[in-house]
Amino acid sequence: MTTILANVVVAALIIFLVAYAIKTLVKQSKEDSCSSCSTKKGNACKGCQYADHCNKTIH
Amino acid sequence: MHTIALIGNPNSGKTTLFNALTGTSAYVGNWPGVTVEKKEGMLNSHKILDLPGIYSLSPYSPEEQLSRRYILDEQPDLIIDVIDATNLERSLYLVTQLAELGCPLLLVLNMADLLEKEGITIDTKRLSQMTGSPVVIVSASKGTGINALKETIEQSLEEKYVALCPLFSNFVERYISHIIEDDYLHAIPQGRQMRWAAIKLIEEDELFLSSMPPLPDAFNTYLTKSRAELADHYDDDPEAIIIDQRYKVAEHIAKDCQIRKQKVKSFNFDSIATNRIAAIPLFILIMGAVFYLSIGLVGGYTTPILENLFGYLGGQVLTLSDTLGVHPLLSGILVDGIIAGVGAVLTFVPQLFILFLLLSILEDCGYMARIAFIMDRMMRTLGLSGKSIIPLVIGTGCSVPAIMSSRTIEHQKQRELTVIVTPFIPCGAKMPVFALMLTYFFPGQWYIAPLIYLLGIVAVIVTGLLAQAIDKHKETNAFILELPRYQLPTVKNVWLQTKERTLGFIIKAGTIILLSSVIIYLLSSYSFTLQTVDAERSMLAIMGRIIAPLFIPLGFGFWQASVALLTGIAAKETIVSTLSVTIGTTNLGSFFDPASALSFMTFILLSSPCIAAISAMFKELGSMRKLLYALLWQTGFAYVSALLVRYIVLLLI
Amino acid sequence: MMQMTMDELTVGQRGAIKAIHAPKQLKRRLMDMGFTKGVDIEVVKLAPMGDPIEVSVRGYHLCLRRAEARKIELS
Ligand SMILES: Nc1nc2c(ncn2[C@@H]2O[C@H](COP(=O)(O)OP(=O)(O)O)[C@@H](O)[C@H]2O)c(=O)[nH]1
Ligand SMILES: [Mg+2]
Repeated sequence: MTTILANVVVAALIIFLVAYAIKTLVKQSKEDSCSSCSTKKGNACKGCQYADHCNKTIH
Repeated sequence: MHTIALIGNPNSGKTTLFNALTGTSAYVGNWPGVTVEKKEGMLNSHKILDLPGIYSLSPYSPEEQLSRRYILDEQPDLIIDVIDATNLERSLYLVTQLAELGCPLLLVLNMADLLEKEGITIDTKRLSQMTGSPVVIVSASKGTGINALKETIEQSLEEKYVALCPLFSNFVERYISHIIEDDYLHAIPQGRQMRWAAIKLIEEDELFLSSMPPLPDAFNTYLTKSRAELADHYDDDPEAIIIDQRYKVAEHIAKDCQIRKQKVKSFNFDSIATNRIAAIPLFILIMGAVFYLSIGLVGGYTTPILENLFGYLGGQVLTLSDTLGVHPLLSGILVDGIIAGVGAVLTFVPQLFILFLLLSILEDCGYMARIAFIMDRMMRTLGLSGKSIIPLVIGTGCSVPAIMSSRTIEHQKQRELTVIVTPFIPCGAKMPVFALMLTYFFPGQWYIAPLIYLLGIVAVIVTGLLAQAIDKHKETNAFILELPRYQLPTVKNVWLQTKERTLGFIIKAGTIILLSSVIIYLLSSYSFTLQTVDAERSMLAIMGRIIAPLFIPLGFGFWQASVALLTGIAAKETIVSTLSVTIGTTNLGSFFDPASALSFMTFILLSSPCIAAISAMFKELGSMRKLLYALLWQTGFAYVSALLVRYIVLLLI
Repeated sequence: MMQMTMDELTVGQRGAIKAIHAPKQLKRRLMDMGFTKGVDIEVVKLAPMGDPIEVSVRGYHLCLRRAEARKIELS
């Protein structure tokens, strides 16, 4: 019983960590590619640090 | 929604003000050219833009062109001209140009906190009358006057005050009014900028002319005649006449609104920092101290502690899972994959924190521009500009912002060369790799770490000299750089920047490094038939063996090294985590010998950088072909150097 | 009378700009930075190898190379 539980806990932990990492990466790449521009209030667009075409079309 | 643009001379505090208004943390530094892209934020549901600094609307370098293009093409609803109040006259020169754009203008006198110290008083009411624009006095870094500014912004957006155009001498004005009356100007859509257009025609501004329909012959003849008459009258070319007249207006306003008391001379650091004899040794000493403090002192102390901590953690988790009967695959991923891989990288957080801290202090105090000043002569012999030293120093932290900061170099060839050599300077992410190898193979031999930096510098020099030798059209070009005042670094700027960069490193450990550690662990535990095998017969080994032969001459022709190098393309720290997953950090000696360890480090130091830096290089070089040449050069150079290093070491031992 | 150019000034010496003899682009940049006719300048400092030089103009400091300074004629 404890063995199964332990296996489940470890597997869940790994899946959680991996999923979280992927989620963060996806979010970051979105920010870098400027699709997050001018959405959040009071938030500078991070992507514009890297892209000067950024926001050209959003007006 | 309105659009507000922040414009102003470089270093006038636009980004600091932008951060104060929007509550964000964009990159601030005390050298001209920190901001090279536009950046947007929100202020009370208005869009507000931070733009690169400009001295005039006639741009020279790409980042300045961005600012000009932006305000001319996009026509913001309000232009906020951020003025360094201690430098009123030159700032007003830009005001005389902005006023003609027909867009509401708001003047912000920044650096209010310095006025008293510099013995300057400014009559803001008078200034507002003379320019026809509202004037607000603030201190962006101290946060004073920000609320009043916000109110004035709202008011300006509503009232749309029209700025007063500067009046030139009667002689010039006569030509301007003649040109405005011509039908040619009535035909253009931007009717409200006719005076501006007329002046551009007198100046023969190429950027403007190329955006206009061709000039009718008669009108063209008239323009040519006018220019000749002006040139004759003032004994100068029309463009110079206009600049001259603008400065006359700026002088006149400044004289009327500003009282400057004679400044008391106090001791200044500059007398040592740019002293003819002491300057360069001091620069080397400062950089040496930065690395000694971060890598040597802090790193030397914290690295073993953290290593032991992660080792202990891994051991405990492993024992616990074994007693609980966790499947070896799962505990393997957790312990040998995640804890080993991520831990190996996180070990370096304290020393990188100190490195980033010290670098941002250097950036904020005003020393950067001085380095460019003292190093220009040397850089020139390499075909670089004094400004190239700034990316090289920033590059010790991270190559990405370093490569971007090369944009302020006006001359294209120098700019591209700077972009190519910047990655030769080892960034913070390469440090873990060196630290790992050095503590294993050369414990206590402190002099090897500086040699690695020296090798990076040698690579810069060789590349520069070679480029000089191949370059057939040697052009001389200008080096003109404002030297900002020294100041105590602001706690807020330094903290924000250090935090941002350190967090970036930690986030990388939690994302790219974590994922790659898991993948590397899995690939190194299974065969292509998905059976658990020992690492030697795993998928990873088979894949690594494909390219491994390439590295046999360099002394690390085993698959673990090849795989580590490949994963290093994602992020250089991955090399450490990959090695620790595939070989184990305590087992390096059975694969490398001192000679191949050094050649491995040399290869990593000089070969093509991580993907983020590669894409930054692509942005700045602007062409795939140039990027490929650059990467080929870097990697080829790395290969040859690594080979040399290996054989030299073998000969010596 | 002999022509005097900015690179001939020694540290601490002052002068007033008379003319700039440089290609269009460079001349414009120098003028944009405030080097216009009649303006007072002072050479503040020389870099370690005597080049570039630091100049004070219109209340701020800037540096430029000797080659550029040579193109600025003083009265
Ligand atoms: N004393 C003082 N320094 C300031 C103020 N605003 C900005 N600074 C400093 O001026 C330097 C340039 O600021 P930055 O915002 O990067 O200027 P930008 O180039 O116009 O974006 C930084 O070192 C700031 O800390 C201010 O109100 N007072
Ligand atoms: Mg800025």
